[in-house]
Amino acid sequence: MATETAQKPPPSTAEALGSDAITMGASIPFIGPIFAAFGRLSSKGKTIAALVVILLVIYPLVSLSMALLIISKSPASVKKSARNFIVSSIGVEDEMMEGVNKSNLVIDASIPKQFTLGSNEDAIQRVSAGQKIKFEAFLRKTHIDGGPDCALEQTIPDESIGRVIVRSLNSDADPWTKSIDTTFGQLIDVGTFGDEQWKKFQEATKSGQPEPQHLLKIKLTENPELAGNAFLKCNRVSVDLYMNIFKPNLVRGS
Amino acid sequence: MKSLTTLVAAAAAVAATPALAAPSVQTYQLTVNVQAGATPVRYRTTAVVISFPPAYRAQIAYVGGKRKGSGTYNDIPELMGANRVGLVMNGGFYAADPASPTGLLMVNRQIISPLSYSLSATLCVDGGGRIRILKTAEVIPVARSITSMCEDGLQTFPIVVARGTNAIRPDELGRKPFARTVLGFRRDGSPVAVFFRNPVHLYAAAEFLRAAPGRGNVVQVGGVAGQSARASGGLGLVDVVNLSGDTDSFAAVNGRVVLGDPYRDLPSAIVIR
Repeated sequence: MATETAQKPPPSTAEALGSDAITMGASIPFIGPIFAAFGRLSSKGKTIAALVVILLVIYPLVSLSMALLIISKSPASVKKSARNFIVSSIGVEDEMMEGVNKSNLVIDASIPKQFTLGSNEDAIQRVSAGQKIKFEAFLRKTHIDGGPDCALEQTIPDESIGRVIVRSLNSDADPWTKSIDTTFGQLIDVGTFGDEQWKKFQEATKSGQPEPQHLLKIKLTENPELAGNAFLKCNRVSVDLYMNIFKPNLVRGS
Repeated sequence: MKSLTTLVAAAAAVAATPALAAPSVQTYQLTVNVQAGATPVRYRTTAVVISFPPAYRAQIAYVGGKRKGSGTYNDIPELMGANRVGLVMNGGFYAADPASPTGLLMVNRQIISPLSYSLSATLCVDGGGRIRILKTAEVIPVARSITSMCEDGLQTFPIVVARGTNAIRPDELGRKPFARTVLGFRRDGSPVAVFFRNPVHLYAAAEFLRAAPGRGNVVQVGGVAGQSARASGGLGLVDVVNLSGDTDSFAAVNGRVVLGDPYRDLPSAIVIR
C-alpha cells in the first residue's frame, strides 16, 4: 500500500485545490454527497444541473428581491394591497385575528347606571357597534314611610321587578329587553346583548348604512303587574345596573 | 328681669332632669365546663359588664346615614360625638352591603326598617327612655300601632333569659360559639350590657347572666346541660336579649372606646346614659 502511494506523481496545485473543496464539502452533511455526485457528472450533466439550480433557486430569489424592491418604491395604495394579498395568502391574518379576538374576551369597561324603580329614568351610553354587553344588576330596597301598613315587613314579590330596555337612538329596530329577578343584595345576571341584536340595529339604522357607533338608551321599567303591590308601596327599590362592555371582535378588512 | 327669668327656667329644667349616674364597668373571667350529652364543652371567656342604675335613659339610633328625623347619624363616631356621657353600643342584626337593618328599627317613631316575623324579640323604648323587651309574636298583631307604643324600637333575637330562666335550648351547645353582645335587665329594671370578648355559647352565657351575683369576678359554669348546669356566680339578670355580636361588638363609655371598631359599618346602635 505504501509502495503504490510512493509511485504516484505529486498532485498539481489545481488538483490539490479541487480536492480540498470536495473534502471541505464532504465534511458538511448533505453538501458533501451533492458535491461528490456533481463531480462525477459529465460536462453535459454539469451544465444541466447548473441550469436547474439557477431556475429553481437563484432566479426565484432574484425575482422576489426585485418584487419587494418595486413594492417598496411604489405608492401607499399599492403597498397596502400588496401587503394584504401577501398576509392573507399565507394565512397570517386569520391566525392574528383569532388570537386577538380570543384576548378580546375581556371586559373593556364596566359602566354603572343607577335607577330607581318607578322613576321613569333613563341613561344614554355610546358604544362601538358590535360590542358585546353583559348586563348585571344589584338591587337594594329602602323602607319608606308608607303609613301603618308598612310597619310590618311585606313579602318580596315572586314576579320580576321590572325590565331593562335597551334601544339604539341610531336605529329604528325594536329594543332589546330583559326582565330583572327580584333578588336583593347580590349581583345578578340580567342578560347579554350580542351579535343578534347588533345585526337588527345595523339593518335598521336611521342613516340607512351600518353605523360604527351607536347611542344606546337604557331604561328600567316597573313590572305593571306589581302596580299597587304592598312591597313596592313600603320600599323604594333602586337598581345599580352594570354594563360590562367587551372589546369588539376584529373582522377582515376593518 | 328677662335674664332672671331665663336663669330660673334653666334651674327648673336642671331640677326636672333625673340625675343619671355614670355606668360601672367590670370584667368577669368565665370558665365553661358543661357536659352536653356525651361531649364536654370546655373553654374560657372574658365578659365586659357595663351596668347602670335604675334611673337611666336609653335611645336607639340609626347610624347608617343622616336622615330628616333626629336620632339618625352618619356613623358611630358621629353618634359618640353627640353622646359624650354614658354607653354607646352596637345594635341589632343587619344585612351587609349595604348595611341595612334586619327587622324593626324605629327611631323617634320613624320606621327605618319594618317589623319582621323572624326575629323573636323587640326592644321598645318608651317616651321616658325606658327599655322593655317584648315578644315579637305579641307585637305583630298590633304592628300598625307600633309608632304609638314605642318611641324607638329594635328587633333582635334570641331571648336569652326570660323571667330569670334560661331561654336557650341545651342543644345550642352543639353549635359553633360566637363572641356575643347581650343586653339584660335586673329585677329593678336597671340595664346591663355584657360583651363576651371570646366565643361563648348562649346557653352557658345565660346561666352566668341569670345567676345571683357571687363573690369575686371569677365564675365557673358547670354541670350537665338541661339538667344541672349552673354558674357559681352571675349578674342576676331576669330578662336578656342577644344583639349583633362577634366583629360587630362595640362599646364606648363616656366617649372612650372600650371594645370594637367605631368605624364598622353598623346600621343601628343603642345609647344608655
